[in-house]
Amino acid sequence: MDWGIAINLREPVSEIVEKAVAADQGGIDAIWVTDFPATRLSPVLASVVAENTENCRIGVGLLSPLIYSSSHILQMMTTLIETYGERFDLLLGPGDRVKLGEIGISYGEVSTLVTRMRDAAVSIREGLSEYKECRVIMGAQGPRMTMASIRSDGVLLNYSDPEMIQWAISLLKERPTGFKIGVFPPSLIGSSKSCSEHIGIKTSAAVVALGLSHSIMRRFGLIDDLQPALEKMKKQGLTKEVVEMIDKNILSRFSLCGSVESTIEKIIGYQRMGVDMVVYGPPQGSTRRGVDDLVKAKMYRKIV
Amino acid sequence: MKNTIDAMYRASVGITTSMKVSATNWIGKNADSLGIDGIWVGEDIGIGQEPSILTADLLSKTTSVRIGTGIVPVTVHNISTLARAALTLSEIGNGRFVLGIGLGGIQDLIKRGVNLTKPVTELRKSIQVLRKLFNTETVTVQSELMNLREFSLSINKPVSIPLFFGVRGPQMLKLAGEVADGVILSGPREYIKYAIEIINESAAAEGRNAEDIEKVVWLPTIPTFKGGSEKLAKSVVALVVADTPVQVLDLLDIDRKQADRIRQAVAESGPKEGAKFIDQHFIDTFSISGSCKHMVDRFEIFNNLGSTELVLGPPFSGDWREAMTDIFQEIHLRRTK
Repeated sequence: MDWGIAINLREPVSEIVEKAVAADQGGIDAIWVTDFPATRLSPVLASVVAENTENCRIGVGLLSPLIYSSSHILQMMTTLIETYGERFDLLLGPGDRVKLGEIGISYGEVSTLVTRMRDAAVSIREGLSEYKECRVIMGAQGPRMTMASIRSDGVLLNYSDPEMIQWAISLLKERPTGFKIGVFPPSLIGSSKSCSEHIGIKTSAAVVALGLSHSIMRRFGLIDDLQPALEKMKKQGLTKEVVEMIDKNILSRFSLCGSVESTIEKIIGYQRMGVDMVVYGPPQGSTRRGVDDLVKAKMYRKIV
Repeated sequence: MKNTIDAMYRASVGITTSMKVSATNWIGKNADSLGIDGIWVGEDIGIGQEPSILTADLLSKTTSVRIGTGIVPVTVHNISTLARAALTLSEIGNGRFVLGIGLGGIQDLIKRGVNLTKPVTELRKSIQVLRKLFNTETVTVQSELMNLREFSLSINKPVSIPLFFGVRGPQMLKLAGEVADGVILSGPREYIKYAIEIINESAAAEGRNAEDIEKVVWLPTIPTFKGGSEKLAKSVVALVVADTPVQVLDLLDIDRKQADRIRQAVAESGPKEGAKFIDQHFIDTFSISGSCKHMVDRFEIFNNLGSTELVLGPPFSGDWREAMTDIFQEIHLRRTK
């Protein structure tokens, strides 16, 4: 199973490069340079990560075809590949609706959103067809996007809960050869702080939980538990108070947090379900310490 | 060879995104040793290499060369994306990055259906928004091109990124004199003289020191001493003629009817068709072409007009690597005299 880490873009480039180098030298298989409208630009950072690392694959995105046209995304990927080699994978998805709104972009007709994402993935994949190593992966959470991902090279699920992962995998049914299933949960492995005390992991998990569609919440019986926090969030945004309103057992369903030993057990469970890769999401890659902890966890996994 | 940017003028290389990776790679790898002061990356919209990634690669490959976009159009990119790219590039280059913006070429805008009612106002607003974002501020703006709501770059410290304009018309040049850190100019000698006068007058009226505004002159340069292709030169010149505002063409000692024929041919069938109407006079008027010494002489003429930086290329044809090496050697030889 491949291990990846999402590098936080909020720090200056020099710190991002330092963490990428540490992850690469520590044997992490992939570094994901996530994109977020209000900070540094992912594809540009991917180039500097490629310049400074040797072995790891580099994930670009999530890039939103609502911000960048499909032809622009294709141009970004081909430039990266032509300049630094076939080390890049692309993650596509619509992106956070609120953040898109800040830069004047809306989802448009919601009923066609999945189709538009799928079409973008298909056209970019076609444009990259000469590069056999490059994968176009779709980020998914809901059933329609998960099913649509079958037209791409893989899916990255925003879950950590085994029940949810199993359900999503069951939606995929027959998959093309080489199709990759990945999970991308908020993560904090090997930290000395307990998960219930770490506001970073709780907030990241809350973002995923509160961002679920109503149909998913209903499917997994979460509506009653999340409703008070959802209502509070509508009034004041995602504050610490909102995060604290969510039961810790629910937050733990949306994050991968704990000791190296307990996490490895979970990872082995994912692998048995058919998961090919885990991308450890924030806050794991937010600090150099987090990167080092993940490197140690990967070494431990090799031994066991 | 060392960079001596306090010499008579900065000498730079211009590249475009439609150039091959092997060519831009060579320039990036050799820029420091050739003594190139700067590299300008022009975006051929949607063609070839992605401009921000190409710029990042050049910044990574060099240590003392200033690298700028020359230009990226605000008409085809979300302003937030331009700001985010600029922040990232400035950090990669440790302050060696310059953001050159403009509206884009006339032909490109027509092709994309971009039709601004107030282009000067839009460019003014764009530079204001970028400066606020680089200054850590949160911006809300709604205009023909921009729609930001409570947007910021999430940075704690202001970042200093020089903002250059790539503009041509008189109102745009006046705006550049008021607000830009530098201007990238392209056009015949008469026009460059006229443009620099407008910029300087506008700067003075705004209480700015005109000398603080850099004037970069970027013309098509076609060495004839290393097998440069005249066919290619004609195509490029045809495109330049087609993109030159009518007011600028009216300033020049050229056959206006012939210029109109060129513009029409480019608009209808592309630059290759327009090239059929290009003669030696048009080549000499719209480009710097000839032997190594002649080309450097022409650079000096533009420098005497008030240009602070001269850009070599494109088109690149023949043995352009050797031609480029010779030209920079000649420039540095004259600097040391």
